[in-house]
Amino acid sequence: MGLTWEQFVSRHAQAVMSSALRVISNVSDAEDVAQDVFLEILRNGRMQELSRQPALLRVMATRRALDLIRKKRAHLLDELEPDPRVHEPIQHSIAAELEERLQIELARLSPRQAEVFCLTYFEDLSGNGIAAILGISPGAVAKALSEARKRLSTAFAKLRTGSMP
Amino acid sequence: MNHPDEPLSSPRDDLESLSTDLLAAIQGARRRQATPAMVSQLTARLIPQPSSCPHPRREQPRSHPWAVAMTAIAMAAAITVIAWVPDNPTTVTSSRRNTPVNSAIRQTSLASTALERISQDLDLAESRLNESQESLLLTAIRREIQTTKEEFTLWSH
Repeated sequence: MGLTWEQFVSRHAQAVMSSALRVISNVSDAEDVAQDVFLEILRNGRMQELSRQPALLRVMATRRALDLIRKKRAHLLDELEPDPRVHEPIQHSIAAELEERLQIELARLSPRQAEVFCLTYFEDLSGNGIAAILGISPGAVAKALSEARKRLSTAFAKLRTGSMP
Repeated sequence: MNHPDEPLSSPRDDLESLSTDLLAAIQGARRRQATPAMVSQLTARLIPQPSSCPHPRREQPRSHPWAVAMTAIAMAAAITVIAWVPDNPTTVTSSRRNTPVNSAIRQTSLASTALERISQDLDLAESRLNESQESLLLTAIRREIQTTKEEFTLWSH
């Protein structure tokens, strides 16, 4: 006998919410993403299928969170405008800003690059695993990851030299 | 899967080649995890709470709960048209029954009645549900209709 809806939600809520949070740091947004993931599963009648493939749930959460940060990119940029009065920000602020910056830069990548990057580094999925889930070749995964790393490295290097918008 | 708090390590690629800033950002993102409070909040949004006063079941022939819910949605759409589309000025006549004011009152009354009917239909649909999944979606529909109702109430006053 399959899981009930309550059991399914209780079992996977933590993983889905965490996957969303790793992409988008805003708790309220992450909660909306997680809720949308569960409702999509409900609408499409995929509960029993996905209860056997929890990795797919994390992929869905990651993908939806990336969609959201793409939509909110301009807003995120506004929030990140540096305050010229602050010359020596505390370490915590620096870390938070770096994480926010990563969100913005992820939103600038192609959807495929961003997805592969997040699934690799946030969800610890293997290249073969990602290839199987996304229905692409391992070579395409490696290429997307390489391009993502290159673009993000360039963006963060510009951040260090102060040439970032 | 590794725990997100664990340091990134091979074979997770050649991370040493990443800049310190990028690596710090990745590590920070990996550390973000849903707390029990967040999970509870999410769970509460997704799992409808059992009603303290269950609706009595009716014995009359039953249509499927979704048919009732869909009817309610269609009625909500109809209400939107009835309540929000202004009268066409060209239809105003000297007849008192057809003045814009009387027409607006009639529309308001119609919309109120229809909203009440929707609530009753949803009560009926909910009373027939066995599956919590359906109950969840009905809860979402009910929330939408409640919002419409509140907006309508504000508008009509």
